Amino acid sequence: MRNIKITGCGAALPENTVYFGGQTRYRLKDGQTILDLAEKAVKEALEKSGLAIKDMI
Amino acid sequence: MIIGGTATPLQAIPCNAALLHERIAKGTSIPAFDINSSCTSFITAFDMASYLIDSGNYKNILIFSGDTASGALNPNQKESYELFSDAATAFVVSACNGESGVIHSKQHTYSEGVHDTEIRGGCGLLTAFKMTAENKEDYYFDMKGKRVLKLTATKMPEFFNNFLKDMGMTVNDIDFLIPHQASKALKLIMERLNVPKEKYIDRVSEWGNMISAAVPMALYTAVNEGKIKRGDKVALCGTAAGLTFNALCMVY
Repeated sequence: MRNIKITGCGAALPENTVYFGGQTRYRLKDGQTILDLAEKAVKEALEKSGLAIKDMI
Repeated sequence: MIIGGTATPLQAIPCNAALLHERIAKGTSIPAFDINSSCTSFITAFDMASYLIDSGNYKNILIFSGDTASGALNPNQKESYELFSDAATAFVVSACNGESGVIHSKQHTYSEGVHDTEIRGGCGLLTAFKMTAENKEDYYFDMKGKRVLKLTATKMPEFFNNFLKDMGMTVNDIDFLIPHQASKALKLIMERLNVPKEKYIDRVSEWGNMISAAVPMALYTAVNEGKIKRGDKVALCGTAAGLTFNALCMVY
């Protein structure tokens, strides 16, 4: 077994939603990029892991 | 190390991980690069990270997966336009003392399906400068859903059974399965793989297909909802443009 442990995880969805046949889909707004969501997800994952970005070594 | 397990580049150069680095790690020299196996990019990134950490080269790695699906959806192709969502996820993976880890991983590509899911324009084949009113459709995401489903239904059972066989396991030995939230056909594929309903997560109707974020979003949700506990044997499994199949089994 390759020793590795998930110590933190995060996720982010756009606030903007569209609906097709009652099903929800998430879409970025104009001017928003996936990096805006990634930043939020990273912040949550690092907080849960108790680590900082400088520890990713 | 920052690994972007991601399928849709924000710009041609540099990679998404370097652009994220500018926001969260500027001033450091932490390496950043992307791994792209389309919808299963997170599984491949997680797999590669396990080798880098297990070898002692790294203690902690940040993996982010997320895509701008909406950037290239074709409003004239209903089956894909109404399926995809934008989302981002991040996972910190760390060295440990044997309580968790990757048991086995397997990835196959069947290139007879390589043109069944594609965006032909925007890169070297058809650069952005070559876009015209006549070839505009080539710059949209193009999915031949029935062909993908047929190839998946034909090839996936053998792939998945061999994946389990490699480990000397059956589906009964897996505590929980995180499948790619590819489409409403997920239920059909799980039936083909003999995975009972209570052993996997299906949120396609709520989220749609989030490309590289689909598998980690389902994993994140399963962890937060208590469906997965420490020590559980968890399998990640999915299909991707290629046509690629990806599976990984870990002790969470």
